[in-house]
Amino acid sequence: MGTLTSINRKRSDDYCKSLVSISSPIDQSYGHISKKPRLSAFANPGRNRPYSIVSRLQLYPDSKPRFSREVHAPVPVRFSRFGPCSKVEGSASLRGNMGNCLGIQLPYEKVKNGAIRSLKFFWKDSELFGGEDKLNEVIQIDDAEDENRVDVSDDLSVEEVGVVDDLGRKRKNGYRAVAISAQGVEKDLRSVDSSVVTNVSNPDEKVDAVNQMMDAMLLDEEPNALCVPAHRKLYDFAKGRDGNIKRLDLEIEYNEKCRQRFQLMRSQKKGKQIRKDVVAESFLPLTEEEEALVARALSNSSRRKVLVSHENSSIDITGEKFQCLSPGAWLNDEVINLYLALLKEREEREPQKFLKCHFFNTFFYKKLISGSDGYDFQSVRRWTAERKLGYSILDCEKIFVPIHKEVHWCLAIINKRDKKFQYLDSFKGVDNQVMNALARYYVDEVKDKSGEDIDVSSWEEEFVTNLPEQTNGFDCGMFMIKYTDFYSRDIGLCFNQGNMPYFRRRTAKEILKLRAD
Amino acid sequence: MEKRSSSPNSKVDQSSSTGTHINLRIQNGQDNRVLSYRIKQDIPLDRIMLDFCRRLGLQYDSIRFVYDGRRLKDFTTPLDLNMDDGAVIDAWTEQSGGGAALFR
Repeated sequence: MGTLTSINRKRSDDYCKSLVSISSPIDQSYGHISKKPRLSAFANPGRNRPYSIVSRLQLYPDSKPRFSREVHAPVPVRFSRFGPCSKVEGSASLRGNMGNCLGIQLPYEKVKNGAIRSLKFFWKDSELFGGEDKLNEVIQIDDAEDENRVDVSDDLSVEEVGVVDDLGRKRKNGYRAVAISAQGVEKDLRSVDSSVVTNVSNPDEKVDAVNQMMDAMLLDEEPNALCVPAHRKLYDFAKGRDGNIKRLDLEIEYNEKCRQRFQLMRSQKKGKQIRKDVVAESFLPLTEEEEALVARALSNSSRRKVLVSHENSSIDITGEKFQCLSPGAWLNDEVINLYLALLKEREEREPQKFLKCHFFNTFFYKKLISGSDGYDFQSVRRWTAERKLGYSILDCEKIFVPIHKEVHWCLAIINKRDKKFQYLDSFKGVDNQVMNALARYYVDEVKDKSGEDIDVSSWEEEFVTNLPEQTNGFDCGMFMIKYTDFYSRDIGLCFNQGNMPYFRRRTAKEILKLRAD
Repeated sequence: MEKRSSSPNSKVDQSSSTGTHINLRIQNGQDNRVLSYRIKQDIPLDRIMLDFCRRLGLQYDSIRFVYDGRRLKDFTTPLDLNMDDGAVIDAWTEQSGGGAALFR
């Protein structure tokens, strides 16, 4: 007894801690039949500390919701509504001991039925017992508990333990265990128990017991309503957290996606920015000084002067040759070759900014096709000696070949990077001879310089048609060198005929300064 | 006038120059006509280039002499360019274009 109380005290502490505040006052006032399952549920976690929340939750009687529902609803209404149902229940109860005694007491039939039903529902769920025993057990324990409460009202926790014990064991051992456990609770309890058992034979007393029980049930209706949420609350609380977690998960997912998108956008922006910078650079307006410089160079007074002398390409540009850059004039080979030399210098100056290219001069193609059969590799074999160039032509991603056709300038590209031969004509012309000669040349060149045999039959021959078109009769040279300029920057040909006057001045400036930008 | 009428294989005055000689050819890009010269390695190339223009009746300023893809300067010598015996110099006339003939 002493140990029990100590345990119980401890338990009561735990109980107080673990229980929600609503439930404890209810227990003190009228926690009877209905409270039992709940108590067991609450008591267990207190006792079995190592149990996880999940396992404790599992210990909750499944019948709880149903039980509560039963109590919630006004009994008479339900009874009238589900008459047949109650009849069935009544018949079932008639089979049992309780049924007999209850059948005698007519005034309490309603309440009895309600109570039995609720209890029945409770026991139906635990399928360990036979239907008759269930009723017996429950009511007996309820009685015992009831009386116990009256007797030992000072220690609530004791009775709770007892009840819990009862329930737990009963479930396992069945009816007999009830008596044992009831005895085990307390000595007082035993006497009550026995009295209850005797009561079973005595209808009147039984009625009292039932009455009490019924009262408790009726009274418990309210507490139950408040009590049920105790575990439901936990459940709801957990559920609410589920929602929170779900929401957080969604938020995380959303934010992650946002981050990825922004990162992508940033990188794209960066790439675009670089591209934009390069494009902007290709359209950088001339300063006033530069404009004046160009205007002076294009004036008649400069005709006889040598304006610039390029050391590396050995090209001297006189005012007369320079005139070709004035609006409406045809570009000549000197200006083109010097500009191409400047492009190469530009690339060597800033190799990270431009593609590694080789720019043949305007005579190369003429020389290449000067042979008797329209192809003479030997005559140009030494043109690309690494010792002379300072770099290997085979390392170049693009090889630009200006094509001069009597009165027209075109551009051919050996595009090693994309494995294709390209032909750009500002009039969208097509020349298969150029393609064939260049394909043949590149094979011979690779064979001559590296000893390797390459197969260019799979290389694409592209006659670029998606290009800025010439709409006059004098700008083809300008188009040609701008195709070269833009492709060596590895940007699209984002210019048109309207840009040509500017490009002429820009090219003039670049030649005068001997520096292409 | 005498020299121009002579054969393309005419030699430019060897008497004044000393040292090892080298055979060079100049090919006209327009008609593939070739003139052969034998000059000393330290003689500036403008000597034979001027002769070439004189013989072919070309204006020296308008001709671009190219050796192995490089423009030749007036005072470059075969020694400077490390020219081999029998090397060919290309003589190109001005190339110009605007596409007028193709533009309607």
